[in-house]
Amino acid sequence: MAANNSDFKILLVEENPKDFPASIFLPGQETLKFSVERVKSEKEAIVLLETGKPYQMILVDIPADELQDSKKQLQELLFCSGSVPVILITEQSGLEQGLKALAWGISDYLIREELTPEVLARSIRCGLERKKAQEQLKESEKNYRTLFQASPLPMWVVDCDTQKFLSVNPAAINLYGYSGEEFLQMNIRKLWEKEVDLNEKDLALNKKALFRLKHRTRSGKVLDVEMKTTPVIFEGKKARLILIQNVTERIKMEQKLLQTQRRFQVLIQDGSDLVGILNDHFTYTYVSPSAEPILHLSPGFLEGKSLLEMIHREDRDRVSKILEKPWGKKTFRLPLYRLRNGKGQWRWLETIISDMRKDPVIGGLVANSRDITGLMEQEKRLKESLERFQIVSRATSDLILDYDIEKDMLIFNKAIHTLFGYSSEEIRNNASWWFTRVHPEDQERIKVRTDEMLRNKSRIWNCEYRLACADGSYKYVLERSCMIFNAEGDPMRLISSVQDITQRHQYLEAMEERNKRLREIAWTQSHVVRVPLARLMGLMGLLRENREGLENIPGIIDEVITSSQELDSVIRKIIRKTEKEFDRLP
Amino acid sequence: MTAFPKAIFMDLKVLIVDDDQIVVFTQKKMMERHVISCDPMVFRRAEPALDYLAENNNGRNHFLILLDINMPAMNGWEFLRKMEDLPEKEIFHVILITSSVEQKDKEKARRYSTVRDFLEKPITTLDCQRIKRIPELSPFFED
Repeated sequence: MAANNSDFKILLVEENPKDFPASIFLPGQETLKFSVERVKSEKEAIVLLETGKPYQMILVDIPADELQDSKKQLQELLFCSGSVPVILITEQSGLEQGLKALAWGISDYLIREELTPEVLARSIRCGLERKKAQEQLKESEKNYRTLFQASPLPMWVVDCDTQKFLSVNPAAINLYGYSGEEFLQMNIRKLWEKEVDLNEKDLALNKKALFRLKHRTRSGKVLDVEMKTTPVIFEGKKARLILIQNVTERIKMEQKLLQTQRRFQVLIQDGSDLVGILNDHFTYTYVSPSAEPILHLSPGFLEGKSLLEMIHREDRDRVSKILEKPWGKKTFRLPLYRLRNGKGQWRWLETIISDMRKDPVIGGLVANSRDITGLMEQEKRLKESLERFQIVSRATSDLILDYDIEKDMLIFNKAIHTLFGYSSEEIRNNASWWFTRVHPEDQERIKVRTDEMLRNKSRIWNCEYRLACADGSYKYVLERSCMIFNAEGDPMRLISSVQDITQRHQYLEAMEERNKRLREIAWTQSHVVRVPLARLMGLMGLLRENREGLENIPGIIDEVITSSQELDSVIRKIIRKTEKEFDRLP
Repeated sequence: MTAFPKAIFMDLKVLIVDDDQIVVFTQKKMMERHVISCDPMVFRRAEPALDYLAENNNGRNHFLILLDINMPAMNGWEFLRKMEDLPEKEIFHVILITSSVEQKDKEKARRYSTVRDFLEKPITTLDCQRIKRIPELSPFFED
């Protein structure tokens, strides 16, 4: 600090003024100009200092033999001098005491015998500089203390040997919930969530170290913290300055981020979707690794290739039409198209395009493609099978039933109208409606049979019953059913064809009736036939065996003729009756 | 003419019960021819035959009855049923004769104690010999 001549004031404390000639303050070449105020004792000096008079330097002259006794006064003076440097002047013999006084806080001491204006001037300068440095040090210490106290990061100082807290800042108090007093009673281990193996070697070597560990607050909340530790000497003890950074949230975020990243990785790499980025010319600039499992093509192969050029010729126009007209929406679906995979097979792909050209990370169109070849084939087969079913259903005059067991949903073909006369309004599409159409006398039989079939898990069965028409009449029907089971063996669907067999049934009934009648005819007629025949046989027998003993042979022959005619008429009657019976055939 | 067999204790009277005139004629002839009866009695209806039997059941004769089943008014079965009520019916020996034999009729016939055989029209020489061998009747035909 450059002092103005008028500003530089020295307070001289001397018991014997003659010891210090004024000339001593007039050094030859020195440019400093002093004004000196003299007092006779430390007490007087303290009084002056307490009045707030500003001095730049205090010189205290104490004879060597008085030094020991003056210690107290000197220390008081030093206490009151504040930042003003104090220089002790004594004799050669007081050297030892002088050195001691340095420890009390004096800036310098001078040997009176060696005292010259130059020496004094230099000492004053040095003292000033030293004081200045001390001030700076103090200032810096103060700054550091402020930093420690005001730091938003929790900090503390821990005794290296006892692991006890020596000092704790408000941020730590705030974070952990312990008061300052509580902290100072505590061992650092109390904060640990569980016993941790800190790198004791690092700590022992007093190295700077960084740890990540879990701490528990007073309320039991567990924190993830990063702990930076630096060896320090604190109040003369070996200690560690510890800086805590609460990274709980950060770790949570990191974990979330990691999870998200992992999720994305799984979705992109192992997903069933092929994700690619297309530029404005529909060229792949990026293709996800899932291209390999999905298309047997490496992402590297696809990148740089035009999507349209790879599409099957027959599908290309459809796709390019959609791609090349204004899209309107940010996300849209491409028409289904085929792409040749690494094995040379054409695969059907379904692609959804999202326009993310404005997104700086993507900067293109995201094409999300899925291989739907299997689905297409399945759909095709299903469609064909359904078509076949529809054709058969249309072509047959039979009633076709399609019953979804789980949904209790019964669907009929047109024969429900054409064959049985029901209007759409009369029909209920469930099994119970159907069952009420079955003739009451047949219901029990059908129920028993159905239960039996379900129990035996029969796939195919036939049964005959009477089914009511819309007009209340009954038709004889033959139902042929096929049950479809699921993988677990539970019945799922029943397909039945119901054939109208009324005519056949009536025919059979008529046949049976006629046969019965014919049997009756045959029986009765054979008896009737046998009457004249028996007569004839009797007469003939008589004629053969008894010719001589018989009188009136012509009479017998007449009887023979009568019986023959009777026989003839009986036979004719039989023929007529039988003919009539055959005419009655339906 | 062949000599008539000697009746050991009693006579065997033969009755032909049939509504058919020709059948009656042939049966009568056969009875004579095979020396079963030289003069069988003929009844064209069942009731008079039954009445005759009831009246002549005096213990002096046995009766061989050639009975037709199908007859107007009282049929053969009814005749048999009524005959069951007559006393000392062991002297009645019925041969049922029909134009066509049915098994069920044969079985039905067994229920009547007086029925000895069941024959189909016309009766033949063999039938006549068979009649003679019927245990209850054979004593009347022994030489």
